[in-house]
Amino acid sequence: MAEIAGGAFSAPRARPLATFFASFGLPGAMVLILAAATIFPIASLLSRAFYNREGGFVGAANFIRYATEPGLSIAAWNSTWLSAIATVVVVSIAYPFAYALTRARMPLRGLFRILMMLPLLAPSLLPAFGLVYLFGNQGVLKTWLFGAQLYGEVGIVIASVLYALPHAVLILSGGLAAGDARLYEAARALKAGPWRSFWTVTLPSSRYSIVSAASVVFVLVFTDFGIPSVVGGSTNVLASDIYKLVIGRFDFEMGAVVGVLLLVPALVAYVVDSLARRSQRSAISGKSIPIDPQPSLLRDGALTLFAVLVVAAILAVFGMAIFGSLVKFWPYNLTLGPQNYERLLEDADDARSLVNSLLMAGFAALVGTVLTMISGWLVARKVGNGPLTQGLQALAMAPMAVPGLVLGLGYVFFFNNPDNPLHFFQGTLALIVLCSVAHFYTVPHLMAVGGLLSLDREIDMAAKALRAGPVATARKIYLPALAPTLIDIAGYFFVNAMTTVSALIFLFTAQTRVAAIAVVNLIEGSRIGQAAALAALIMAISIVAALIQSGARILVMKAQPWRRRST
Amino acid sequence: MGDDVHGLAAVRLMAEGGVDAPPYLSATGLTKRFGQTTVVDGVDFEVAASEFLCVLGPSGCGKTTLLRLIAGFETADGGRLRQGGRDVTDLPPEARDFGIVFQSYALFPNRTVSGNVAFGLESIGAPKSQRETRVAELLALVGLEDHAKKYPNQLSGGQQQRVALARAMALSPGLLLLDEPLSALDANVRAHLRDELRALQKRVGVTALMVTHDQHEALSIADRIIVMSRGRIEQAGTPTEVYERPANLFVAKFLGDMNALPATRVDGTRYQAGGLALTLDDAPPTLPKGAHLCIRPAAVIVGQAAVGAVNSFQAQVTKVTFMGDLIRLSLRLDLSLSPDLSLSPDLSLSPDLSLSPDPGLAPASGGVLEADLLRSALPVWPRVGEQLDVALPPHHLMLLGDG
Repeated sequence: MAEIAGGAFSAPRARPLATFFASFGLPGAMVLILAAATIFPIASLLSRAFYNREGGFVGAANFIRYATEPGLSIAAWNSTWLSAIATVVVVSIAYPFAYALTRARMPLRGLFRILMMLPLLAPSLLPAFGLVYLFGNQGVLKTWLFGAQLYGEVGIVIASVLYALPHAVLILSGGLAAGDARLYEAARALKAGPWRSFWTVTLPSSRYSIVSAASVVFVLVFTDFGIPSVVGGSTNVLASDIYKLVIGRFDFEMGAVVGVLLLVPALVAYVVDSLARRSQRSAISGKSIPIDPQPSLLRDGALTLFAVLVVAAILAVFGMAIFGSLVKFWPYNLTLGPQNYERLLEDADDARSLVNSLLMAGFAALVGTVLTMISGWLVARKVGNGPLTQGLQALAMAPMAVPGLVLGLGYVFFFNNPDNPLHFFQGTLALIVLCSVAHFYTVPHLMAVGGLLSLDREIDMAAKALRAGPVATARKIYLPALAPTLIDIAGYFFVNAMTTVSALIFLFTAQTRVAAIAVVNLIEGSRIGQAAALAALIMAISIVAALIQSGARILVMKAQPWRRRST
Repeated sequence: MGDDVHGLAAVRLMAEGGVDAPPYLSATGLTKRFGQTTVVDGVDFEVAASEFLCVLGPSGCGKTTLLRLIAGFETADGGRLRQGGRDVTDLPPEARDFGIVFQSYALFPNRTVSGNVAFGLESIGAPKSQRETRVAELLALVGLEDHAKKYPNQLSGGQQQRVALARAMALSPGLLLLDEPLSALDANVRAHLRDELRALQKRVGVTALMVTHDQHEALSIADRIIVMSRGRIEQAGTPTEVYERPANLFVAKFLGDMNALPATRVDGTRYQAGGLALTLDDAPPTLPKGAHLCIRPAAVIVGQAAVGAVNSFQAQVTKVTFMGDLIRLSLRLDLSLSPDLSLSPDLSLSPDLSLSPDPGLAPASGGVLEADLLRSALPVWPRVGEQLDVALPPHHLMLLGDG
């Protein structure tokens, strides 16, 4: 480029300022914002793991101390094998469930799908409460555990399975739905029976989504803070250790070491997952014919029974959590009443935490939607400088690889540093909003890119040729055309910001504490009933948000007849 | 039509070689680079008012970039562009005077047909009553009066293309840019719309510049054609000029099938090519680089008419291809190179043989010629292995360089 620009003749550019803004100004600003919100905090955390308290470089000394100090490294081992077991269980349940949704004639598939997605609307703590009321020391079904203790390994695995199941079902049903009917026709033509078809066609073609689901579930369980804090008992895992080390012992060096340990499998899973997705993309041709399963009494009956059992288990645990929150005094007075809710809302701090949550999730939805639309536009339209745009895309993808706990701890190291010019953010609700937006950035960014790519790039040029400025084009074309995408992005940010615990556990102050964190504090104060009540309230708000989101989508479809295909 | 003067009189003036009329659009040394690649390489051309110009070339030749430079979607790295008497090189698209139809049509999916056509009128702040009149006018022009309230996804491809055209014409631009506007359509619709587009352009009198890779489209629609390759203009001329008097081998082959035999000069107007001694009507004083003697398959004379003619010889049929109206013969010229032909006659009777030519029939060197014969003019089908009289009329032979 350089020698060409300095060549013999170069025409003066049209509107140098506007061009500069589009190619450098805007992408540059976005890169800085995203770097400050993700990469810089992670870098602070990484460097902290290699320095001592006084700021001297100590190499691997912190890691050696972690490995040798009694009781610390056991958590790494616990986290690993518990996550592995949970992953195997989740994938074994999620695969037949996803199969029932996509490859069988199961009745009420839509309802089953919605019920399966229910846990996504609640903090990970809520199923743990349900388990406490069912199988805890005073649980109604305590005997079902044959004398085993819920608190500890058993509780962590069961609650983790419930929490991670919908994620795995989403990924697996996506993979199974994308099959090609012609492969099955070919198998039948070659005299393969249903079992042989399954083993030779279905399973091999869904192996990438199995890998993808397994890696996602492993990381979710490995890095979740909520579940072990309720049912972990005396079993130490990394996610609960990092909290104790940082908040309890102020041992930031060990906290940083655990942060690195949490980050490593997440990074590995991220790479595995993206490789699996890439292979899957190339395995599916654009011309594949969708599968229309034929009815089969045995298969459909067995799968329906299975799905009913799974959904019943989810409903029982979530229902029990809500039932427990409504009981007057567990387990002695099981009459129903709103005591827990009343006492919760009478407490000024807890009541404020709900307001904070609504504010924070609302701002996260607003800020997140604006930022992802800008980054999505820059990436989809390639208007900016090439390397800057690639950097922006990499930064937008990075949060997927960073567990919330690690990001949150990175924020502490980065923004608490008095030398950081951004230090003034520390302790504000704005910082919590930024952290939530950054933590959940990747999926909405991809939604924005996808939405923009569905609008032909030549539309921009057509608008320009018809003398429309950027504002008129955005108002008349982009907003109406992208309305469903915008609604989905805002809804995604809102619900996730509402329910997240791990990203914010290190960041709150008395003034900025959000409801999901207040739940953890209530558990620490052994106020389980109120904790369950608050978690249930969070879920209720998420459900309302999800209903508003669907309602808004329906309204958009009504108001925009062009979306309905008719001729 | 704005304040530019471009009636049919101007076209006639240009067509008759009137040099007084200034060109409506002109480029001098127009250049565009992407990184190290020069995509448009010092291009010069002129377009007269009300002229229909086609820019023709293979994909990657720079023709679409040229169109985008004219529209202002790309900024030139060098050269000047003048339109309607002013220098527009550095103007942004919205300050230029053009309408554009894209290959994808780029219709606004959320707007009705009339909403799409009215979009530009809204941008310039035209009052509602004026907008409605103009939209009705344009929809009548493209024959879509009955579809005003429909959305783009309720229309056929051909109808969408007409909406795009009406939308592009809404602001009465002096210049209409067309970026492969017909390539996404079915063959039948394409031919129909091509004629309609040409008629509409002549009726309105707008200057039009269309980019295409389809030589039939360019030959049938354009007043003049610019053939591009690797960022440069290979030739500019009327359709008959570029077809019948191509400047070089590239242009000749791009515009249609062409036999090309590497040639060396013997003396004066006599040449050696493909093992034959051939005579030209008039030969250039110097032999061009990479000289080939060329003739279109349809100009080759086969059979009785060839006997005793200039440039006549005997050739052997190696393949017969049925193409509907035409029969294409593949002929081997140099019979001395592989005289051995062991072909069972019963097989050679079937024209289907052309699908799998016997490898033994492949020529050892050069010397292959294709001839197109009218099916209706053939009493009997030539057979593979048969020897025929062939003549290459000197006035159809062209001496072209490959550079």
